Amino acid sequence: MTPLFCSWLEIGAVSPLRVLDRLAKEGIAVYGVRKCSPVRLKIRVKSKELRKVFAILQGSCYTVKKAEESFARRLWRRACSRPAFAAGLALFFVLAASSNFFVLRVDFVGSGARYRERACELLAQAGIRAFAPYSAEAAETARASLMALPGIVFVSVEKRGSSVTVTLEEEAEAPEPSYARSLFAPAAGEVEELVVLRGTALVGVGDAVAAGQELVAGRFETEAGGGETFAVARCTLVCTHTYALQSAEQSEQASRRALAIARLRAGGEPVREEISVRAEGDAFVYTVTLAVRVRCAVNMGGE
Amino acid sequence: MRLYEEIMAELGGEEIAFGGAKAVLLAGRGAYVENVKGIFALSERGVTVFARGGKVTVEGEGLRVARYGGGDLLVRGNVLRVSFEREEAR
Repeated sequence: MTPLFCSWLEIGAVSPLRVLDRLAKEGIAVYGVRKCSPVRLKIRVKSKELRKVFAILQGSCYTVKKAEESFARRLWRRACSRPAFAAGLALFFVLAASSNFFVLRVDFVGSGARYRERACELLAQAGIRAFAPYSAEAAETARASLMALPGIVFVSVEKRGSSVTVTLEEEAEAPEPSYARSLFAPAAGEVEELVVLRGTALVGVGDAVAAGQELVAGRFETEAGGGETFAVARCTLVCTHTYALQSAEQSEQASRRALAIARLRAGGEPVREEISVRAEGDAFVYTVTLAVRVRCAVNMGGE
Repeated sequence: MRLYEEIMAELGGEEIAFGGAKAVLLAGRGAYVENVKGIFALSERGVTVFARGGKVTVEGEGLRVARYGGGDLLVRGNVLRVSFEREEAR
């Protein structure tokens, strides 16, 4: 690493490179060598070793002269020659550095900035206020106090330069989820099973229901009176469908095809099925009666 | 340099205090030579130094001596090659 205070020397000799060896032998390290010409060399040595270098080369065939000083050295020399200027400069640096230790301004940002006044009090209690010194511990104390404010979910106290930025974020209110209020029958059928966790059942097991009929209402009844709510319920219906399907032939294959078409149209889980065939002119009509299980639910999964 | 000690240990040499020419090449950045006895030639394209048993030549572009003292030489610049030339016995 190059020392801070260095000076350049200009060496003139027939063989100036030997100066380097001579200085090295005397324990003088050289921190830069520039060959200006075959007979001139510029070297950089520690400023505090200048006298020693001159002493070593005194009386030799080398001509040595001081070329230039390092910037730091020049600055130091100038500062020494103008003590008032140097003192002012030093004072400026001290003030600039020390201003960073103090808080000159406190800013509030975030959705919770409306708590500004209360936050100012809490910050002041912790020791964070304008024209007061800043400390990370005080900031952490203030942060903990600010977190206790109602509805505040995030707090950060950061210092940049001489300004402290307090970020306060409030909890965003979650939108109320929308629920279907009642359970309706998706098709006409007979109630096979009914489970009601919330709401009021309007039908019972074994009841015949029409398509679109309300099975569980979104209201509750108590001794004190009733009220609106949303239903949480599940229902299983057995729905019977009859399909008449025409075929050109009467065969086992045609029978299976008619049954498949009926199942496809009905959907649900087959419970029982009946099939009959009759001749109608040149064609045959397959009558398929199919009972299927249909499940429906509201706010309960499996819908 | 501790690096040299580790290299010597790897080579199995018990002679840790190796007094011959030692050099590290940092291609394009610089070169470090130890046990330098003197500088023989110096230019922006090459630096040749005396070491025990021969000469070490650092070649490249824009070379400059960044530090020389105590037998150590640090050359900065776009170093492309470091070579050793054995000195013929007279």
